[in-house]
Amino acid sequence: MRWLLPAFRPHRARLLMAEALLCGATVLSLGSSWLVARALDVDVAGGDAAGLARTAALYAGGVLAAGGLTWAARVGIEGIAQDVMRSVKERLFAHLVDHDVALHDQNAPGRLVSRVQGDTEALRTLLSEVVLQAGPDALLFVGLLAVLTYEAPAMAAVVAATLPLYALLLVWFRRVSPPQFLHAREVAARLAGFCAEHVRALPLLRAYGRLDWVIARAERLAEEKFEADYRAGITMVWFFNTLFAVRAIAYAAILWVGAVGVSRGTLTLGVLLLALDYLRKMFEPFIRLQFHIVTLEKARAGERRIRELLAWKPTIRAPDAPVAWPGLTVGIRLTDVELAYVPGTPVLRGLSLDIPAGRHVALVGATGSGKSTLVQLLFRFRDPDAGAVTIDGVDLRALDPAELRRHVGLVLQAVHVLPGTVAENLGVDTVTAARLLAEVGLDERLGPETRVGEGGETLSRGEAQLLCFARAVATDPEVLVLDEATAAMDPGTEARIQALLAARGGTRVTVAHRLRTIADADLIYVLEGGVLVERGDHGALLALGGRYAALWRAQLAAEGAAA
Amino acid sequence: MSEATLTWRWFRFVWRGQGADMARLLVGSALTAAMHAGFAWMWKVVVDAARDGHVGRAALVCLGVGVGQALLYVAVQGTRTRVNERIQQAARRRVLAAVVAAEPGDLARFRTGDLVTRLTDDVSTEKLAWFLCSGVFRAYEALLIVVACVVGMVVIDPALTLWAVAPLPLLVVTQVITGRQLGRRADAVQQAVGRANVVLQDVFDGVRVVQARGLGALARRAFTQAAAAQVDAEIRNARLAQLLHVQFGYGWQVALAALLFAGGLRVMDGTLSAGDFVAFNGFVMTLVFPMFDFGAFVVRWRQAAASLARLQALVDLPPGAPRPVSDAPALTIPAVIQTPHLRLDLGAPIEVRPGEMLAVTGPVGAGKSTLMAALAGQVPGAELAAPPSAWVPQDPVVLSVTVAENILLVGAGSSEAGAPVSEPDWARILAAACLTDDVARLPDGLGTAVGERGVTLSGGQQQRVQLARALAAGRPLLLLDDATSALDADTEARFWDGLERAGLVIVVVSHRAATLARADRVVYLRAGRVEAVGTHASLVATHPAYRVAYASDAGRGVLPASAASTAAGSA
Repeated sequence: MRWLLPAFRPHRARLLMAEALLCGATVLSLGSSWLVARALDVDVAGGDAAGLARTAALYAGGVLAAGGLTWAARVGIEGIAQDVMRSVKERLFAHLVDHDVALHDQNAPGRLVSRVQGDTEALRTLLSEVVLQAGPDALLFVGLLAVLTYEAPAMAAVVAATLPLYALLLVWFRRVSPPQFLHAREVAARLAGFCAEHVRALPLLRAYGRLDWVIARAERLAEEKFEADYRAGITMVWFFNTLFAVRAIAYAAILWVGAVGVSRGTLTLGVLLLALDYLRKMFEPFIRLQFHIVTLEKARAGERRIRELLAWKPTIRAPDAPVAWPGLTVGIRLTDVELAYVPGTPVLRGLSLDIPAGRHVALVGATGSGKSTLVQLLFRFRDPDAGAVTIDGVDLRALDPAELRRHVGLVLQAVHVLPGTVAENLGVDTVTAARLLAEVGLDERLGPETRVGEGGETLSRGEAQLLCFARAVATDPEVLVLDEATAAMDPGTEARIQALLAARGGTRVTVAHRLRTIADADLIYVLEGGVLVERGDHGALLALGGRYAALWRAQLAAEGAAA
Repeated sequence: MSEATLTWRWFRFVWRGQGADMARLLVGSALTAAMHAGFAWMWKVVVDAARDGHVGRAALVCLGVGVGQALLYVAVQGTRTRVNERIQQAARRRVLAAVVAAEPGDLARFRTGDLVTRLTDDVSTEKLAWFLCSGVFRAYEALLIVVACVVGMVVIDPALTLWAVAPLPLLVVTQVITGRQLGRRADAVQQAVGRANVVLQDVFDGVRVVQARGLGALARRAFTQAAAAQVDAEIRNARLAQLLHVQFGYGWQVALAALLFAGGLRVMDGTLSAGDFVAFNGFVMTLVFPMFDFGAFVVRWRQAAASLARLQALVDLPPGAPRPVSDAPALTIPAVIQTPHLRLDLGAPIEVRPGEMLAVTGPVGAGKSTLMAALAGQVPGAELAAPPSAWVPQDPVVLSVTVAENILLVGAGSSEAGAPVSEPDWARILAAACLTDDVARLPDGLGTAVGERGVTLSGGQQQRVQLARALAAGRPLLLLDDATSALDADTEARFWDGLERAGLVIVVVSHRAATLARADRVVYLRAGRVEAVGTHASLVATHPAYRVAYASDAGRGVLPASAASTAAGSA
């Protein structure tokens, strides 16, 4: 948790203020109870009705003021906890956005979302409900024992005697309850998974007449959930009622000692009531705990996960002294490149090929042949395990990745529009954005300042695809990479993009399943199992009568069938 | 149906047959309520007893009442906890039964995630079950506590009772108002969190483009904005939530001030004893939490009613009609099959006899899968009388159970509900589905758990598990909907060669020439209409479009490169 301290630093003044308010509320609350004692022992005993009215009013005022202070302090603390967590989230987010693509491949977006949102939420509860509450709670214990010791040491002894019992109970509860709750959550998650899986499989199960089997297993899981929930629930019941029983014993003891004292005149009625009230107050932090016991366990696990994620340093970084962009006059070369996502199962196996400058190069191959991996290498989303990727003889690892990526444009099949203006999404100023929009023919529909993405203008798929294309060419990159870019495009959008590409020229790398898209490429590489199996232009490859020719005929046939 | 009627119906449903627990709670709650008030009364007894000198005995009784009350509470709360969970179970059972029995077409209107939410979240203790037991009986107990305390106070001093009790109903009202407002703000928080999650998801999804185009700054800005909006919503929510807590913690103490003043005056003029005053103090403290139970009852009822409406919508789904089953050995596919979405026109009825294999092919959207699902009796409104079938749908369904259970769809070796199981001939089934080697390699063989909490099967293995399932069912009609697409040509050939076709009616959807060539007849469908029917060879010879599409398997990624080029060359 120490790593969180810097995040508190900007809020030091607010934090001190809120803690002071909370301590003030505690003092006021303890003082108000003391006023009750005074009202009885001084005003009532002295027969001073006006004084009684004053003290009662003061008491009401004190209570309300304590309530008001508590409210202000708690809202302040919530605000601080929120702000601290927001800075942690932003740090975590920035860390993830710039992190290796490998990390994102290993962690699905949904999982990272729950790291950024869910784990921090649990941590926030821990901060605002326990950590920042600890001081005022300690003050409450100390304060009420001090007042009682001053007024009636015997009473203080009785109240203090319950503290170790509470503590003991708490230790027991903290040991027993969290595993039960975590188990209950785990069973609940399993039941939810079961429901999802079987709701989807219902048609099949119905066809095989096995619905009874589903019901029977659901019943078994539900029974397991019952056991888990009941066990966790009953622990809670025992914990609180044992607490109540301890308190009842303390109440009886205070009444006994107090009543004897009052009858002998060694103790006043007011002090007796004061002790009863303080006993109730001492109990409050324990009650608050019941709402948060599960969150606290989640917070501990979440805190660990966040720390691990932040400690995971990216491997793809700019070198200390990056080489300037060499310009692309010769070409990109892969030399004996090997790469495995999982050790032992290589995706690229000693791949060597050239992408000559100014040419249109196409990569063809089945799923898993390694062509998308090759694209990752071109952007240095990954580094090869062995071999090298060079641009005009310069190893990509010698360049600043940001610099490299300015000179290489990427168009993917999936469209990604971020919340922001069109110009922001294109990553250029508004003048350039306007020019780009006109180029791709979106200028009538969108302006540079139009907001798009979540909460903005809704784009049709074709429009989003054109926008993504405009983004890829916005920096006028020397190399343009299209990874299945046109696979999901309607014919109109695709035609427009093809026209733009034809007008643009330059070095281009296209990955495509549909061979018609790349038939005009200057050079076609056919990959299979991470190695190069054929190379040449369309005509040459057809004449070769190999893998490419077979693929081409099959696609012609499929188109014939669809026509 | 009004909220009250709906709640009452479900209340009756979940409590049916639970008379013993209900009686236990009715009596137990009454006892705890009496002891609550009795404990405060004992304070008076102890203080008054001090004058007479036998305070020790009174204090012991007081202690007994206090500890006894806590123990009794263990029983009452324990019962409530148990019944809450049972109610959750009963509600889920009822809804699940309705979902399972519902007409597939009706169910298709709901998204899977929505159904899962209703089966888990809406029936949960938090949303529904707590209210139907704990909520109701806490309110009942609260009512009894209020009555007992008020009775106790009236016995001591009726006028002072008014002073002490008057501010309390105000608390209930403010709590209900705050609670409702809080619900709205909590929704706003949910929406803000949802929006921030969308931004996160968008950015993580497109992390390649973000890095490729240096859009990190834009992404950070977008997230910062969303996170700030979320913090704003959270703080607005926190203001009200903390207000509710303050009402809990401090609001009621104003009643103590009123009591202090009015009670103090009475103690002064001697009409109220010290013990009476202490008892009054105790009664007010005892009254506070029941007040909040009333508030909670109102707030939680609204939540529960919303969940109930969603559950009732599922319970109201009409059960699906049983599908007609033909006992004729041959399958007759009618000339026209009308489904809600598609009309399949075969031109003339097609009869497939035992031992015969019919293949169906055609481009995307031709209606192949619809035809198969209709033959399997899974298309509402298109009930065909077909022999009992073993259907293998296009997308493999693999459940998170063992391999054996996935194949049999019952607990292995057991004779569980609905499935008479004698130990199947595993060697034969696995061999027929080309799974023998795969299963041998699994850590626990057939007993290996697969799916979410087990090993992951490859696409081809999943398909072969499906095939094994169909074969193990031992039904006279085998429906394979593109069920061998992920198998390599060699394995597929082994599967067909090993299939004992005698006595089986086989209908298969395929795009592979090798498979089509094995069929006795091929139905070539396009856009819901039959284009041609005949053997593969005759269709290749007479139908140009069919020839182009299906004459060979070239380029389908199933043959070695050399074989593919030969095949393509001959096309």
